[in-house]
Amino acid sequence: MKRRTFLQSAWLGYAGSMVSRLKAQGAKPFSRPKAPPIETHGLQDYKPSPLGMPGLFPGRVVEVVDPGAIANNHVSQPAVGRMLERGMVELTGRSNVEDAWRLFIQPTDVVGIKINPSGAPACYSSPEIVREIISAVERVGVPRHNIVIYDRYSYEVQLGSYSAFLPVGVRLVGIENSVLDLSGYDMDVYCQADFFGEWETRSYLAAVVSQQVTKIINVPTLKDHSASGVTGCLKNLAYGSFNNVARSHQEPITYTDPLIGVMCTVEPLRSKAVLHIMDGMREVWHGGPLTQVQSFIAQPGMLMLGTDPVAVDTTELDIIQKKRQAEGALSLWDRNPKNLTHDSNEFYHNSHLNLFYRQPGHIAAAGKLGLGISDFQKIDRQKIQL
Amino acid sequence: MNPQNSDAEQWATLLSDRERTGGLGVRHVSAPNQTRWRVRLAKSVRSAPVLGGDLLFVTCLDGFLHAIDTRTGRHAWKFDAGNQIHSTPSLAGNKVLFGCGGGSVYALERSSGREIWEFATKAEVWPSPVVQNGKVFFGSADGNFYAVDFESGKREWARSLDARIYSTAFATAGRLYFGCSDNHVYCLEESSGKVLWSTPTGNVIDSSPAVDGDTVVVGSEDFAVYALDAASGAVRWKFETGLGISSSPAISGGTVFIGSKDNFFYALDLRTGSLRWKTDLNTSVTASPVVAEGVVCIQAGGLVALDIATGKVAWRAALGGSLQSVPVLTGRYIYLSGIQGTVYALE
Repeated sequence: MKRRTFLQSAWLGYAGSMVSRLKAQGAKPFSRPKAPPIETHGLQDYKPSPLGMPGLFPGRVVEVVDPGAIANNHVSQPAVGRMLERGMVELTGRSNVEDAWRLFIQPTDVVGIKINPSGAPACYSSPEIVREIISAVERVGVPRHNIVIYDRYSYEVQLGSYSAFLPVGVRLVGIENSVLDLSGYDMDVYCQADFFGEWETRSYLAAVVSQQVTKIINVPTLKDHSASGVTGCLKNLAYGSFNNVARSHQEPITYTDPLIGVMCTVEPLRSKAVLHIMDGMREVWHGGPLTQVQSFIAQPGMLMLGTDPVAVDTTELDIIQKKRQAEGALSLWDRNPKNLTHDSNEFYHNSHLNLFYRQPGHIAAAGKLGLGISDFQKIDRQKIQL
Repeated sequence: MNPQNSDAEQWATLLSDRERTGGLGVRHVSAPNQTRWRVRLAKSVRSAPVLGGDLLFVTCLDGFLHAIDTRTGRHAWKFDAGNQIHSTPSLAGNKVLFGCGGGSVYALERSSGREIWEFATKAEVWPSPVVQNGKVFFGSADGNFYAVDFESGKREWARSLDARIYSTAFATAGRLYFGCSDNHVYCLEESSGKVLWSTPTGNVIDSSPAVDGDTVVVGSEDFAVYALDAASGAVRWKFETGLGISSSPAISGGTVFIGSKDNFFYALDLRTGSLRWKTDLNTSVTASPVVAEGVVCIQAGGLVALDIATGKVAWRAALGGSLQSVPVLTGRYIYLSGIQGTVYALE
């Protein structure tokens, strides 16, 4: 079954309705201080690629759903393989899957696969999906030693046992091995801003991104986020490739909007991120990014593909917002100070609480920076049910 | 304080024995009440320390094997392997052995840190080398399981499995048991590397098996604990937990102790696989337990001692958050390392 539709969603109205509700309750809506200016230093003389964000298919999002792809929390790799093939063909309009992959990857590329292990072990980029991506990249002709799985935190990568899930020869890079470990970062590529008077005002880009890989396939998870609202393609790339990002939060204020989008504009990150494959096998609808509470993790069995991270994340935002509404949780746009807690454990177990005034507007802000399309009416959203 | 097997040349598995005591044997241990010394290493520790005489051997992601004098907490020596180390050291005769991220396995002189030999594989070696009958056995992420000569470091044989190996072997008379990333548990003939049997599970295995009598016990990332017939590989029982298992079981007194990423620590009947008790530790449990008299200790968040009969928390020390570290229990002292890179001697 397939249906193509341009959605007439009402999610943009959530923020407005929330303000009205707060006024009715007599609570003063939160007004965040203006974000400080952010200075960016990209790689000098880097020539931007036309494959870079928003990529070859701005505004296009392909959702492939197979409820049989996950059962009792076990992901079926054969099912994932079928979903990925179908999704790639639909995204690109090519008649066969190899041609679809060749639009993005050449045999001479060094391919980085950016995983999201931050919810491990309960919810992280499924190894079954990553293995299917590796197989597809190999079929294009990329040798295994030129395939690099990476994330910032080696601890989280190891907690997910990621190394054991990979084929022999594929490289795995956990950039930081301890606090203040800067050895894996490129000191010439950074974003600089002073958010809260922090002592280190720079965030550096991972050297594996700036110096080693030539293309990045981004594999975020379908997940809410206590600060940024949701964590999708944009946040997985930005906060998973630059260091020293936690400084952009100080409860209950977060500057994930606009920092996430700004980071994604920095070259060569922008140009190298050519494809986004969101893992929606599991859906964390509250407690992200770190929750391990299974009652907040649904299992929709979905993949979402696109080259436009803003369009994919806008769709993710819609999905998670609707799920939270259905479950009676707070809106992602909630601004009621009475719903704030400083107790993260309390937050992890109560979907009526927030740690931060979340900033889902970071997605639209990234759209304004030219990274993609956030206007829901302009997003070409294809749903495929297998 | 001397390890029981300091003069032997046998180190059968991860931490020497099925109780994971590092060759010290099951000791009485009580709650620590003070820190005797602490050493801050440059990076995270993702392995278990082992004790030999007065030296505590700790591998670290800073690329060094650290030999720390337990009397002073100061370095006796350290050896630069040049690559991250996840491998728990093993002790046999006058040697300390470990693998490293660059693919090499090293044998060093225990007293001085002098390199005796180096054996190179083509990818990282995270398992702990196992020593039996004059050979050293270990798997590599290059897809091979190796046997090398204990004295010379020369290759005896290699068995290609074409899948990464992160599981430390358990050696019994003539046989080697370990898990593999191709989802199988393997039994190899010690003398030749011939595959005697292999048994599939539902996902990759990075847990290290323990063998008691004729039963092999191991966890799998398919969420289950397996007990296999050591002779045939036939599955005797399978116990489902809520998430993947990279913890390695300890076995003592007919009970299997193992952690799961579902936050629970389990005690299972070795014969039947039935649940004796389980305890929620409120964090993923990926390290291996170590058995002591009356308690079983596990590093999960911090160091936790559970009553061996009931699973109730006997005491806790809020130190030693860990992925794979296991405390050294000497009776009087507890040596502890963890992800923050600090090594503690607790008294």
